[in-house]
Amino acid sequence: MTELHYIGKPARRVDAFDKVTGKAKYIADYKLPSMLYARCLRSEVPHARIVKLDTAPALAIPGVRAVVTS
Amino acid sequence: MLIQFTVNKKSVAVEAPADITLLDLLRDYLGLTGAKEGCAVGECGACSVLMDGRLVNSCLVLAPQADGSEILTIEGVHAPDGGLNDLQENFITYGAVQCGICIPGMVLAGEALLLETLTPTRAEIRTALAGNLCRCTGYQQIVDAIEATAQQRRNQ
Repeated sequence: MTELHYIGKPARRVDAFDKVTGKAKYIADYKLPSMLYARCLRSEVPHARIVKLDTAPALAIPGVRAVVTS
Repeated sequence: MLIQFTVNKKSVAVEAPADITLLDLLRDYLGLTGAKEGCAVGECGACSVLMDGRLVNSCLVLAPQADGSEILTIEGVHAPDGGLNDLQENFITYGAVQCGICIPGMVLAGEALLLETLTPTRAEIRTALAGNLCRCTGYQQIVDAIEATAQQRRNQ
């Protein structure tokens, strides 16, 4: 049987170096220029029907760039 | 307020709000993103750093508390030549690294334990890791890596 190069041989994890040194960047580690930060506004009641959404007060707050509703 | 301390053997002075955590200070003000926010309530240990030689959850330390202290983060863990130290090498060799999010905390927990003893039993290693959660490995490989490092350091 021809010599197998990878099967049956120990393999060093390709990203292990970055992970054990703390260099690996996860999604929350990225900081981009002019990055915006989002927050979810969750329902305060367990069961309801959304009749109206008034986003104007939120948009009036300085620094708020957008209010996204589904 | 101005917060002055040593991080990874370097003196720093950071102007920061008094009501942020050491974790926020390290990640957002010093760009040291090795410590992770996994839970923000001191349960998962992904934010672990050494503070004056003690393992702490940096998400529970207020930034002003770090004033005058010596902090070691994962970025400060390395061999004298700047490469991987023995514990980090063993983490790789023993398969302790999967997604890796727990690893900075685990390495620091391992270093904290090995500062106290080079003859830990496997049970003692597990106790030392009690504050560090891992969802990937099942901990076996992490315990193996720390146990192997302890033995290697004994033999030096």
